[in-house]
Amino acid sequence: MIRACEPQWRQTLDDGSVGRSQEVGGFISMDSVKALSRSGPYWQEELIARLREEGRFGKMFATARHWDDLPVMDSLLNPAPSSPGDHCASGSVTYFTSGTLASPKRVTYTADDWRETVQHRAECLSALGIVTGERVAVLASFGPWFSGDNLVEALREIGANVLPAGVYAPHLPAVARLLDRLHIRTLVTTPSVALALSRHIDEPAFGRIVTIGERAPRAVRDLIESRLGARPRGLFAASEVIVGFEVAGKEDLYRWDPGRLHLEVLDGKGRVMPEGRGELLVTRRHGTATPLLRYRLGDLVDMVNPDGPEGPLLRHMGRISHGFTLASGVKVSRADLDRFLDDLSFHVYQAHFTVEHSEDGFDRLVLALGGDTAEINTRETRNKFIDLNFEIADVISCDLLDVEVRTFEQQVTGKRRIVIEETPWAL
Amino acid sequence: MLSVEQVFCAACRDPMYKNWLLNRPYPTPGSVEWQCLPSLTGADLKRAAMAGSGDSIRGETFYFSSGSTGHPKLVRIGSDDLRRVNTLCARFSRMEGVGSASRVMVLLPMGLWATGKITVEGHLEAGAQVFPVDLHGGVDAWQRLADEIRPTVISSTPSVLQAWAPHYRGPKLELVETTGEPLLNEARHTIEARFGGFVHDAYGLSECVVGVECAVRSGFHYWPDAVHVEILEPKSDRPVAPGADGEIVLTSFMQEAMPIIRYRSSDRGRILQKPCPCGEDIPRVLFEGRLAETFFMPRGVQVMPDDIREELQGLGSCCRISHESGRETGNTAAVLEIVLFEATPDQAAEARDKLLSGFPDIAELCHENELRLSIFSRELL
Repeated sequence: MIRACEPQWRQTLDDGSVGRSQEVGGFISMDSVKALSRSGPYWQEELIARLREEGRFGKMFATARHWDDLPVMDSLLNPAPSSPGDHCASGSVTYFTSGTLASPKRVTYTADDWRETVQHRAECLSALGIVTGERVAVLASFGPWFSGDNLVEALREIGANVLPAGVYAPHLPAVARLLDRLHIRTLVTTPSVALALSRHIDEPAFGRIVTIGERAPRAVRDLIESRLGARPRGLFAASEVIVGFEVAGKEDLYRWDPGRLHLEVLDGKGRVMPEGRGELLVTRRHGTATPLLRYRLGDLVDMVNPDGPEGPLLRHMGRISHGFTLASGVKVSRADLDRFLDDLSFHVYQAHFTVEHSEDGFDRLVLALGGDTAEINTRETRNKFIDLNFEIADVISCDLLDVEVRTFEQQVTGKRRIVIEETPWAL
Repeated sequence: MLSVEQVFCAACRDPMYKNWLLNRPYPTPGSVEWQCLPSLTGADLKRAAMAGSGDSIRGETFYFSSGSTGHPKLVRIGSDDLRRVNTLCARFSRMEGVGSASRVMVLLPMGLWATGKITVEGHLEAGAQVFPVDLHGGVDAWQRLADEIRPTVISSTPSVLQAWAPHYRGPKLELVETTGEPLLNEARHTIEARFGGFVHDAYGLSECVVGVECAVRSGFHYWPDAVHVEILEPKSDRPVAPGADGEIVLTSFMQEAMPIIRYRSSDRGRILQKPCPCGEDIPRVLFEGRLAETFFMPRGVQVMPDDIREELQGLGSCCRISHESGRETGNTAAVLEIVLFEATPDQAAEARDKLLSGFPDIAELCHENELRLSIFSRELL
């Protein structure tokens, strides 16, 4: 039997019995078992040794010999090239993910890494029911963001026929017509974009909807189902890593593959634990261009029932240190908001961030800043907020977000107060 | 690349070629038998898109080429097709000097259109480090990403680079690649002056990628194992005399999912007869302009007025369409003006909705303030 947690893995593999296949919802566990047996019980040490030998990471692994020595990673192991023409990155493709303008996160994939990610995602999409010959539209962001390209390749890997539609609100009426012309009945997109698209769809005729990028509350799932004709199931993934797929009929419960990932949680006491509730820590076992080791993905999860018949599962509880999520799945953290306020040229004593998600999938963000209103420049504030993150600017240019800045007089206070209000889809 | 046999076998399965009488032995490109074949037009591709494809190959991608989504011209590319197209694009990159030391920012449409995807993949195959960047967001977004990426090569359309040129603040490039629309000498000089890199232009359509300029920059070199280029008389399927100009007609040895045989590009050009001073012994084709009336809009968008007329059919008795580029208007935005005769104001509003839902590229330009769309109605007195 495959176990999700390291001590149980070792026990299983050390005693020589690699286990039997468990097939749940079409997801083939036997491959994972083979992968485990190939890599052997000491893959963690091998991974550390390999990275230590690579000059790119300098002294980062000089002292780490064992898995337990590894610290939790707050940022990507990303040896950003210091000069143009970095040879170790040749033949690689680089995407960007959330981060501030000063330090946007890049995720680099070599051909092998990319292949691995595509195959992993293809397995998840296949487990979500997508089959060879199925016509699928991908309404996700393409370059410089990662998800669109990777989804299209993963779908092609399955043998599906794909329309790479992108995420751009002015294109949605045209995309709706193309879906109709091409008789496409399967969508892969974010919940917000599914709602935005639904405005242009006459018949709720879709047979399958896979959601990505953000957690869809039950009410939103109901709305999508009523407008488009299929109840969404989630694919849990980020630019850095594919995590797993939602188990049929069990919303927010995701199955993951221990042959490709090693998942742990950081519990409330700051301990790294193999199971239980806490912040998700991800290790990608096969990526080398941008390695992930005990990487904080920013999600609160409950690693549930590793011994159950459905294999290793986790329940997605929400985001950690979460500010709010914008229409195409862009996540703005509390830390981002602090940094934004700190960088303003005037002092803000109170800040209200109100995000209104409309039923049509579009967002409106109202920033109400309290301070000396004579000092506050609303235009500059708006521009600085947009500059906070590439992705925010992108959501605005895609016409999925409107940002408004308001001011109010606020007397000096000892401590800045931040209020975040997110009205989920005005439901 | 595919053999003639493989391309014709694929064509036999495709309803687009059902009237072509394709029988073995299949003709050799350039032979008398080959010249007796009919040709394929953009209208044929639109009809095929409306009727649905032939036997679906697994793992196809549908790319939007042009036309409106009421009558879209779609290109179906299979996974193996894509690999072959990528191989050709990698040859382009190598001829230009792109290699493992290059950091390439591919600034092209990344979603519905094929050009961004194949450019990324071609550079990857040539060993470069590639950064795909969609066009959304305009000059500010492009510059911010360039600051972050610090590319040595940028691959984009002439009009995008021209729009960016006055605001470009580095880094200085080694090479600039242009594609997607005709590159005028003035634009080439502006781009080279502002970006600092030698400009190589490439020629191709979504339906069939063709060739690239060498350092001599006199015509586009093409590889006969990947594409067969003919020059036919614009109004017949007869070839012109060697070296004379006519319509560029293309056969792709890369695509099986949607075979492209003797496809009329609506471009005017000629095959250059003399060897190229660069020393490459592969042939060259010179692009000389468009045959069909075409509006060249910002960001490499090309729209044929006939497609607009087709989309607006039934709204008024007829329409007059005019287009001015941003340069002509003296403003930043280009202008597309449509007058619907014998139409009501409601029909003019409907026409606007139809245009924006029918032409995603026009919708994008309007949204990004690159194009001002004006539709007027003239009622019967």
